[in-house]
Amino acid sequence: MGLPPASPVAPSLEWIGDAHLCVRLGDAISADSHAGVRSAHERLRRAGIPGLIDLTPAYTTLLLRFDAMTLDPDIAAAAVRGVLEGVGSAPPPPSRLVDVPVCYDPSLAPDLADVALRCSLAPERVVELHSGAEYRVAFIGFAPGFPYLTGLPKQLSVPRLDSPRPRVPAGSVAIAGDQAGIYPHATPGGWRIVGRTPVRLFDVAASVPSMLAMGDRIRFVPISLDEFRSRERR
Amino acid sequence: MGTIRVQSPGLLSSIQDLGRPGRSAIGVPVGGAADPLSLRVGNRLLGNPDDTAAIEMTMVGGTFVFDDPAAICIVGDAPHCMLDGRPAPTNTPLEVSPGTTVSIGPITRGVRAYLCIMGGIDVPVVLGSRSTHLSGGFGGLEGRALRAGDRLAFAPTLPHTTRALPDALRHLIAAPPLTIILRAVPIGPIHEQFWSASRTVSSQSNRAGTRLSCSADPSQRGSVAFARMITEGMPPGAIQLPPGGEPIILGPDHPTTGGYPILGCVASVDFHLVGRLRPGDTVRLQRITQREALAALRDREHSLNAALPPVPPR
Repeated sequence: MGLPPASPVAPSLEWIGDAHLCVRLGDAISADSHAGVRSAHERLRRAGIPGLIDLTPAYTTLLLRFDAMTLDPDIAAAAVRGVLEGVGSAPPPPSRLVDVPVCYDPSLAPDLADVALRCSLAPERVVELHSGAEYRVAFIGFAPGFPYLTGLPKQLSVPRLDSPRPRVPAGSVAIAGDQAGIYPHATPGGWRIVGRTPVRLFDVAASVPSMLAMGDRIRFVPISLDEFRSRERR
Repeated sequence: MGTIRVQSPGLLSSIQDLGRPGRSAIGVPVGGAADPLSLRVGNRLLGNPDDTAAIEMTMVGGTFVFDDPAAICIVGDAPHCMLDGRPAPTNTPLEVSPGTTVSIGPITRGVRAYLCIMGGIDVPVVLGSRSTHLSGGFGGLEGRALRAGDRLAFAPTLPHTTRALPDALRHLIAAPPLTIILRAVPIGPIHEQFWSASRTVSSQSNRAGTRLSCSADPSQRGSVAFARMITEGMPPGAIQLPPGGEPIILGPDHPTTGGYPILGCVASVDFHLVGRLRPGDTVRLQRITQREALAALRDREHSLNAALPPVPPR
């Protein structure tokens, strides 16, 4: 998934509640909006704007949290505008390519057969398509370490489950609509599970707790059930 | 080091401080006490810095045995609170001698109470905080809710000074009324029906979000139809509107991003009230502007600091 050079975008700003500022860098999920969010995030993270205490990147937006006790909305918005001047005209920072091992054995992929039926494909073809694509981590959101991935082949577009599962096992590799993701922890979840990775995506003891980061490129590498079990024990 | 044994954890008890802001980009919400104002007042009465870790309890408090002398303060509406079977006051620092059993009992108004301890609960700092993130399984004691048989360490600070709750601050931690008014800043166009509706707190509420049920009368529902939007960052206090029309107010352990439209966000000055909403309570929203919300927060903090100055971190 090569990204074309991003064209400059003029970010729009909107206050959310009394202390959060939403910076919008596009109206649709695209390579341009992704590159814009990434460079805006990098710039704002380093800018040292007084009172800026948290940044939440997503597909097209960056949510900024300010310290409500010291916030002057006009001064903060002007500082953000200043830092973001010309954002998107610079090439996005380089990205890593990360291989994520996935076992597609039916015992770990409760929705694989159903996805195959819905897409009129053989289950083996679903695995081929899913593991043959290159994905990009649009952002980490929802839960600690959960990657929102773009790049799912169009043939694999399936709706969410009608009612979410009360418990999705940790490591479940899932798809919904044109999105793909991996559940780092056992949580309730409504995406369809097509495999499971033995890799730990979120580890508070690690120097970098989230294995994946915004902008990473991802490939899913099929592994056998035996290999899954042996890697899981490690 | 002192030790506390958990004889009974109550309904849902966990270690919380003021959370871990600044990690949303890896999907970690702020977390921390659902009612941060109660935690801060309890800590200040004991001479603790605001961010000192305490035990947050939900609906029914726990029973704890202190193996070592301690000074504690129970903040919340727990009228059956006992020290060795003798009634004990809440919102007041209490001296506890070794072997004392502290039983909190039911929380009758609001939904949470805090057992603050001088020096604080000593659990490892994980990602900048001692708070428990229950669904992520980290922080607090082994990333989970307390269980019977758990042992907790605390770090008593001696000599110590405690203070009585100043009368001027009683209203800040008073038991909430049956109808709670939350001041909130609107986002986007105003939908009068949405803002004027009265709603009931659902039992399907937790630290991630408080769900508000619609009234049975459709004309009172105040629901607004929206399409799903592109997933974006969500602040705590955001009032989300899923397609079912029952709003969810995001709490401290909220998902950091979401795809439901948000019609407003609870003002920072009232965020602690969300943590006091009890299933069955009535909630009404009151619109205020961003500037009014910031001014109200600064006024509140000024009165709090004037009557009960913050304790510098050790």
